[in-house]
Amino acid sequence: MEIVPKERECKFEFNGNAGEYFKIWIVNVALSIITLGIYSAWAKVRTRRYFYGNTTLDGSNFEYLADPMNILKGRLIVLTVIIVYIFTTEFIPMLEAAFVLLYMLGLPWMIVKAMQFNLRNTSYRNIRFDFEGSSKEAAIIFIGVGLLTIVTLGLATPYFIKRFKEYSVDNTYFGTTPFSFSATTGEFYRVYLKAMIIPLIIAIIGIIAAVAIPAYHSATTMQSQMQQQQQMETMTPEQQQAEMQRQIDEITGNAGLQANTGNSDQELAGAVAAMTFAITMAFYLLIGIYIQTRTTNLVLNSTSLGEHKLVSTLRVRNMFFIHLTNIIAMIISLGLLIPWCKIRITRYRLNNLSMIVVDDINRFIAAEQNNVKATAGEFADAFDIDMGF
Amino acid sequence: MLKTTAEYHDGVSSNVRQVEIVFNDDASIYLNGAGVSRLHLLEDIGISPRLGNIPRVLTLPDNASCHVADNDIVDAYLKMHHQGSASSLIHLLESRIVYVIAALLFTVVFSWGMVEHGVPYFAKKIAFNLPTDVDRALGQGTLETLDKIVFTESTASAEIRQRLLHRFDLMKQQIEDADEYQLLFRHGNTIEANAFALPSGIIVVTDELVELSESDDEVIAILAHEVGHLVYRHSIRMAMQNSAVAILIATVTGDPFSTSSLVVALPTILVNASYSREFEAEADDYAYRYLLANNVPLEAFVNILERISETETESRVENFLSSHPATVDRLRRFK
Repeated sequence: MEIVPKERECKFEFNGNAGEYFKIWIVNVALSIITLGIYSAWAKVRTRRYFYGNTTLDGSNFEYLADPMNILKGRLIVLTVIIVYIFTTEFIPMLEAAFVLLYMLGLPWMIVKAMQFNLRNTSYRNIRFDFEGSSKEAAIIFIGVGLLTIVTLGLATPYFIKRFKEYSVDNTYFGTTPFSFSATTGEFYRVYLKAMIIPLIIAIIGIIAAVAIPAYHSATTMQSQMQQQQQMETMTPEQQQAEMQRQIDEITGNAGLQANTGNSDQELAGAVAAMTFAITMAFYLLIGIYIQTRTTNLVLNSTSLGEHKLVSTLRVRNMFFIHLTNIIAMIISLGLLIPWCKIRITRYRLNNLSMIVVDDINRFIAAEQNNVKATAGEFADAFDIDMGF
Repeated sequence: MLKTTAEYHDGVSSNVRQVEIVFNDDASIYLNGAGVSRLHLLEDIGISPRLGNIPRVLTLPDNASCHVADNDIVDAYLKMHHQGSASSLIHLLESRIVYVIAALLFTVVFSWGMVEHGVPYFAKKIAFNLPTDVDRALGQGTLETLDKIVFTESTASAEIRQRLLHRFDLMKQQIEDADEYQLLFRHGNTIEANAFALPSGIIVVTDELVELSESDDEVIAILAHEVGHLVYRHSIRMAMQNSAVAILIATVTGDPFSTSSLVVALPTILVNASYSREFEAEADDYAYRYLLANNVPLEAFVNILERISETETESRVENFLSSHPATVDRLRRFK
């Protein structure tokens, strides 16, 4: 009798909680300040360890193993290079171009090293991940395809993203087993094309508003007041605050902030501008999140490890809601809710990730590895390159 | 003797074995079950520092490891054998509410103090100790760019320009190191009635402003304000303060996360706007003292500012974020 492999869905789970992480976060911040930033390397490792350690798949958690000392050394090297850059270019401006060229040429190497550092310091069931991509291929993608993207005024962006994701996934290993990537360039273009529909909707709403608002304006004062009320409700908190402050100023005799106070045309224009600003920002966020969410789903759903496949079921509307409320929460709390925001977005992402496992995940074999220095990773962080995997 | 369960990973394959772990009183650890039977001395085993409630990782000499979910047993055992004090100190800070509140208060007070006092103080100290050449370097090329994209040649009458230049020279004579200060006239076009000081010492006044003024005193009042910016080295202080705040906010909020870049940008803009308003107030002070000392009526400044704000078409939102204080607040002390 033939043995049929048994497929089952293993869900990723996230057990971190906001209260616990808040304590870790605030102690990290305070100690980083007290130690003039030296502790920040330890803070980074503790943060990563907390998130990885609370992520489980099939009952086992992930681990982050980087040595904070390596990260600190990396940061010091980056800092030195930045200081050298500032001083030499101050006195010998000619060198600026040389630095930029060096940075451009060094970028692919830094990306490879950063990915290597992060993956080699990640393990699951005591088997480390690894990255084996070559700097040469990274250079082709970042310099070659990167230039193509610029020359085509962004039309090649989906192709660039596809090449980068393909390169990232195909060169990642779990022990000795490579990941593989199957998405096509067409699928990436589809994501971006669909995202283009969003600005189209904005344009239509804009036209409707342009026609409707002057008509509204000619109505009675009573209606105008109601309208202002409605506008207040659609504003972001800061704008509401500004609007409230203005109204308070008027009541307390602070009128005449500008010579034209009291002119209803001006007030309406201000309110419309505020509303337009809020809506524009929200749509900007929506487009960004749409592309990010769909790309993440596409990449993960096209990724497999041996015969096991990843499944990501993120929804744009949920991601949009979480990001929007996160932004509001962070602003209102002056940053103190950052830990809560990080926990809930991570939980949502991981609760929507699973692996279709064939039989079990017990048969991966560890590989021999050399250690990678953290410097490149810190370079990448210093220049804010997102290595998101 | 303490006992619990553990996940055993041999470090060769991703196979998991559930074992029993025994912490013996004689500082040795015994793993038993699922084909594993190992005894090791505590000193040969690496134990990961406690962090929240994530499983502890015990690394054995051959790189096999086991995960122990019961943190309290591991802590109790380590305490019994006087180990792991440095790493448990951090966990102690993270788990006691008193320390957490202390960390919170420290962070809030520090951030506020730095933004409100520290950064402006150090920027001022540094700026006043830097040679003026640095300011010049900062403003290099700005006028050329503006001449290309905004300004056209001034159409103001030579007579008025001559009169204003003469009074500007008188103003310069009262200031140390003002030799390089220079007054230029341009047609403002899109920037309308305006005046500004470039760090290189050049003050530009637009024809529109000259036309809007009803007396030379009014233009002089504006010039005194702009000279205030130069004397107080506002450009270079602004550059220093803005970069310091960006670094500060990035440091305090920690590693960049997807949504936080936008969130970091907003307070940066607000803080920068607040610094800018402080500088405007400082320049106003300078103008105030100059006008008083030279018997120029204070109304000159009030009148011209009020007239400028009447011509401005900016909306309220922009005003809220704008770099200049509300005209009414600025004028209070002049009235």
